[in-house]
Amino acid sequence: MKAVARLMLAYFTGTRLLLVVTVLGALACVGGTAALLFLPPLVAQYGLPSRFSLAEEWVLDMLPIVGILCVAFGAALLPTMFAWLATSHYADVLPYGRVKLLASAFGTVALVALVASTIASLFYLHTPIPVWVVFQRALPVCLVSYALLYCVLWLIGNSGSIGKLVFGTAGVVATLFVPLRFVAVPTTWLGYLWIACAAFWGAVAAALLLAPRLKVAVGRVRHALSERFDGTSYAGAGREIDFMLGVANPWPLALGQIVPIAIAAYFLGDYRPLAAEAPPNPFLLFMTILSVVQGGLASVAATRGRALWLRAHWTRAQLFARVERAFLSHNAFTLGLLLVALVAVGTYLELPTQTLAFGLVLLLLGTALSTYLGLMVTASIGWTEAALALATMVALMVAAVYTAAPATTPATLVALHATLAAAALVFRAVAARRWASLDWMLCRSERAVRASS
Amino acid sequence: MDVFILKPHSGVPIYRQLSEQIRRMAASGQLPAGTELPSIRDLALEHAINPMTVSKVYSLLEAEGVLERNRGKPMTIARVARAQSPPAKRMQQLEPHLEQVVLAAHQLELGETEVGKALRNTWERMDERSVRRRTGAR
Amino acid sequence: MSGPYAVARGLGKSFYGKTVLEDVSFAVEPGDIVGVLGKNGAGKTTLLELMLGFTPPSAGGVELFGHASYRLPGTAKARLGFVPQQDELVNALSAADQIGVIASFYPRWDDELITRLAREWEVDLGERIKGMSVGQRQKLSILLALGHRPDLLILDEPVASLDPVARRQFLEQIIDVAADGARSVVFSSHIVSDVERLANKIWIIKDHRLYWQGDFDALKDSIVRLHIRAPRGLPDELAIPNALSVQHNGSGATAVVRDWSGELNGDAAASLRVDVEVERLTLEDIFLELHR
Repeated sequence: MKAVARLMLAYFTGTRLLLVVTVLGALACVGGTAALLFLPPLVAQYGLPSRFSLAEEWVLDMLPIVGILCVAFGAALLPTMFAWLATSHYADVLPYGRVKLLASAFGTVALVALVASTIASLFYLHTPIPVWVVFQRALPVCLVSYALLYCVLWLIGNSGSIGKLVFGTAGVVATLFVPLRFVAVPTTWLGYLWIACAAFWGAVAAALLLAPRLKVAVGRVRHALSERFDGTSYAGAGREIDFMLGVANPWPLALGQIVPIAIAAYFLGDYRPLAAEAPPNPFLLFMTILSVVQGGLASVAATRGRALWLRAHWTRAQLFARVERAFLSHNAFTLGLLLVALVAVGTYLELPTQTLAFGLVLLLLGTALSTYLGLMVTASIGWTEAALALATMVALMVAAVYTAAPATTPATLVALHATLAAAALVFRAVAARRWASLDWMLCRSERAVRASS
Repeated sequence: MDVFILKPHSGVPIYRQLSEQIRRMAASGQLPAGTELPSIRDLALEHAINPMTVSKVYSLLEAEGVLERNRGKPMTIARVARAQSPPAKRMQQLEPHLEQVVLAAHQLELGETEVGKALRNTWERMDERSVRRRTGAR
Repeated sequence: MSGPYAVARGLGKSFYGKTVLEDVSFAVEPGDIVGVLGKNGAGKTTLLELMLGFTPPSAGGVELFGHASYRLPGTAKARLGFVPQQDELVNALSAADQIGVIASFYPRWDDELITRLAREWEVDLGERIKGMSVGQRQKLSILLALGHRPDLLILDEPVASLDPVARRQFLEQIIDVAADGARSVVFSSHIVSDVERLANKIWIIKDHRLYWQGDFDALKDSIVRLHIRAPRGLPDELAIPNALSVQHNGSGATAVVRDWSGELNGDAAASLRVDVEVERLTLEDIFLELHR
């Protein structure tokens, strides 16, 4: 028991950043819950008279959601430590290691799911839908979706190969949208939800606990797979710079985006929220997230660039220019596909033209911003970079929401996009300056960079 | 105890080095009767050697009567160590050194008489005092 | 526990059709310090992992504390400690947190010991692991295996990255562990001088088997170098029993033999007048001669 508790404590507070996020999240959850419980209903958004202005309501609405997200991301060490313990010798050496690990993982997810379900159901306090019903349905779904979220976090954080990154982004879709479908449709029998939850956790437990027995079989499968799907394939054309940076072959990533997009389109085709009003279609939001994720590849550019630097005769400035070009051409590929997808799916979903038009621009901006942000990471990822990344992400998501909302005026959108474009240029300038004085001693090994992201 | 000089990387096993040194020092009086030897752990730690080796040496020497075990207290040099060791036995300890001299003589192509004369000279040269200084005896 | 801590009988392991180890048998008694030697790729890590139960044997079996190592119960695991060859630490945590997590799995943890050793070994417990040098990480890995005072401590190349001072401190700690005669240590190392100091039992892995499995002193008595001098010269083909290598030089020969019985038997001694000088070898020399 004490091992389980200690592990969970480590998940939430292992690093200073996580500790802060967890604490802030907890506070926000408490504050948000209090707001939901004791304040009068926030109805200004529906046009009804209310004590609060629209802006205030928006903040009060967001508070518990931010709280849930912070608490969930506060346990971001869970996937790393789970993978560490499960694959190291310690899994076999520590007494009851696997069992306690499983218990700690489940405990963490259960804790987050409980918080999320409680708060989600409290949103319906003043509506005709009973709170208890929502809670009942939300809990099993959250137990699965947050577990998937941690899986995705791990895949993205550890993406040594394009393949894993693609699966990671597919996972983002699953975690964000599949549960919505189930919760949103009240006719789904509650039993199904619990069966799905039990099946999922049963599979996780079986995989972990039976792993020693399966090790031989798994080893063989891995052996065969690794011989087939190596991340860098020399079959594709490309210059040395592309290979070293890992952007030689954009096809897997590009095509891989198709899968999550298709899934999302299917699920969001008949998106029917519970509330009376229809909030903007989150499809654009999802696409924006995708465009950012692929840009994240750039964060390892600096560390990988070291090998290039040692081999080539370029100055640092020339190196930066070449690296920038390599990444932009690689990302342009996937961006192009994203844009095409947006147009295609957007037409299918009958999104308004304005949304489509500005959406295209937004995706472009998303890619550019994240690429340059990644290139800015020339030393270990510090507070500034993390804060900037978070702020950029939030800004892009806000922009996506506004772009998708039919009520927004073109002028606002133009202003928004212009700001984002300016930010991208600023990031580029900073990145260029940093590369000009790149200190490779400060560039930690790739593993460390990935670990800290 | 820093009187022992142990060379783990010579060909001679450590247990043999240690046991011979203790035997010699006990016989010569360098370690007088009643001297307490360090515990197995302390001696092993000091010389960074395996404690079982030390334990083996202590047991061996206890069986030979060179060391005495006292309940609850560290091993000591046995009181009757000197008397129990007849000259013949002590000469046995000198044997390996004599063999080395003979072999070296053969390599240098020196004869028995020459070596015998040199030995006598060396013996006279090294008077009591220099011997004591060299072996650190009391 | 009075019996041996670890026993192997006819242990064998193959991967994908390749034999790594075969017919390995040994026993680790309380108080033993076992040094495992072998060339790179000889199977040292595999042997240790088989002992740990990390991987199932392809043939034979190995038991720890009386249980099959592959199915070791949790209570027995509390008596086992392991230091892997590549450190397996969570980069994001601080050293103290890492220790705290591992410590929480064990019913007993000697905080005082760890604090003292961390101080002596100059490991800053407040430091983040990702900022530590390789040597610091290795020291931390060793600390993690000492805290619960295991009866059987298994280490795979534990000092490869340590400077001589740190190595000596580590040696002293191993001696401390084994000194009371109730706890055992098994460690593999390329630093033969360390093994020479510490081990009372040696396992040499060669050609997928245990070439030598037993007392270290006996090994030194068994494998010796003979300097043979025959004033009348030696025949070109000298039959020396159990010889690992023979080299002729001028009026004599040098031979390294195994199972030295104390005198040269066979045709060589009988028909010729030979002087035989026995030279004992260091562990490193023995190892080199075996792999000539």
